[in-house]
Amino acid sequence: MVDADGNDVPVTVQSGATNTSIAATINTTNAALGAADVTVTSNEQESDPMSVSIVCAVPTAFAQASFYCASSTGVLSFTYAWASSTGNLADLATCQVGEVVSYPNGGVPSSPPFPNYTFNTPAIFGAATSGFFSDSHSPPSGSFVKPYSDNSFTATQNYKYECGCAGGDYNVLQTYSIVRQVVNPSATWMYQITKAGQSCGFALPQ
Amino acid sequence: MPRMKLLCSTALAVAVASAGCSLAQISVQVEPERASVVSGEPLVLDIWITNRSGTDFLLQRHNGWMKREIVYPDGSVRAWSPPPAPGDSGYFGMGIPAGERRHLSVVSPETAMLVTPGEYRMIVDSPQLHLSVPIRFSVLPYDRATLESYAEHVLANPKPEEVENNITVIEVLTALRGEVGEPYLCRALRQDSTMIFHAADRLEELGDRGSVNCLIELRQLYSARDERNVVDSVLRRIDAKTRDLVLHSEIREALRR
Repeated sequence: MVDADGNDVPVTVQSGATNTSIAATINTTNAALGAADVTVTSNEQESDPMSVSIVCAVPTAFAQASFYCASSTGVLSFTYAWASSTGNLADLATCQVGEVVSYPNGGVPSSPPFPNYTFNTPAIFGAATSGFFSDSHSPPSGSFVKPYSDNSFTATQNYKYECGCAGGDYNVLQTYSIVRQVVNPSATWMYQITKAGQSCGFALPQ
Repeated sequence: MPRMKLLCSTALAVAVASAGCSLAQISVQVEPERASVVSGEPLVLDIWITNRSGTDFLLQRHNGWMKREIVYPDGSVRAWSPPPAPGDSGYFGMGIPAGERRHLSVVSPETAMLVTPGEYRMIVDSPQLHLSVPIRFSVLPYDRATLESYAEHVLANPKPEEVENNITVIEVLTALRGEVGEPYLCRALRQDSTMIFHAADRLEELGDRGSVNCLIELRQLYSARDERNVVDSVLRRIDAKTRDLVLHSEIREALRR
């Protein structure tokens, strides 16, 4: 079997081969996708070819697993899990999963009432074989600035994946709005963050 | 969380260091990849985690999942603190199915800052793994040629398609002393654009002519929008911070193209 560049695909033969059977691991990480024939040659005799199908595993079933509101700090956290299209996370060795968040106004919310703060566009990616990502959304650092007024700052978050075996394109798994607000719902000014229907926040110094 | 259950019982989960205990439910081996590093080079820890618990285990690799302290040759001790994660941040896990063993490379950037040659110890501590183990390593005098040779070795990694491996390569190159690591980091990013997410902070931190030239070059090479956006945002942040008027105008011109 040869890979996409025409090089031999690495094969590890397990011990215990006999005249009639052999067990081997074929590393298809860089192999061309599609059907491939495998033959075994021994003592100048070649076996009949056995056809195998090489597929590109991609992340699938990306879903929120839990959320948590730290009410004292206003940090809203979520965990996400996903699977491999082959059913085996280890097959996602060529893939990254991650998030890209984009903010309006260069990442600078209105101040007042928000603190004087700039959100740096995070693009966090990691090995997709992990199958688990925890995401936290903190309030802008610093003191909220008076006079308070109703105000909101909405970021767009895309969870994405890319797989080397699929050409390296970035595919969207989920899209969310992350809404950070200063609100006054019941005569108390609050910082509030909302994402995926979950909210978290704290009372601002009055 | 689905699929992976946390092992919560401290009584059941016992971690052991290199000379491990076979009765442990979760056994951990920690070894330095190299017993000695040249000043300016990060120590890489090879960690093997074996899950004999009968239940899938999820290692949550958040900012502080592994605590490290360095014991200096003079006996003084300094703890390493991970950088804070402001705004919108996240971390990944590592699942270890029941009965399986997983390898993890951990790059310790703080060891690249050690300038005094000598014998050191690192105390590696992980509450999740119930691990507390001393690692011995030596720091050799700074030698740029040796560091460059090491960077070449790291860059010529034998598993180019494996993301986890590539991230480790980038972490090593970002931890190498700046003037040595920067050109190799840029080479790695030319080879694999998807690694820009793991190197952007370092290029911003360096913020010098070398990193700006690298970013401008990468901007022309990268076709994926997410990758270009990262490059552009780093260039903008360097532009906002630099006092070098020439660099300033070069960044502006590049961003206009």
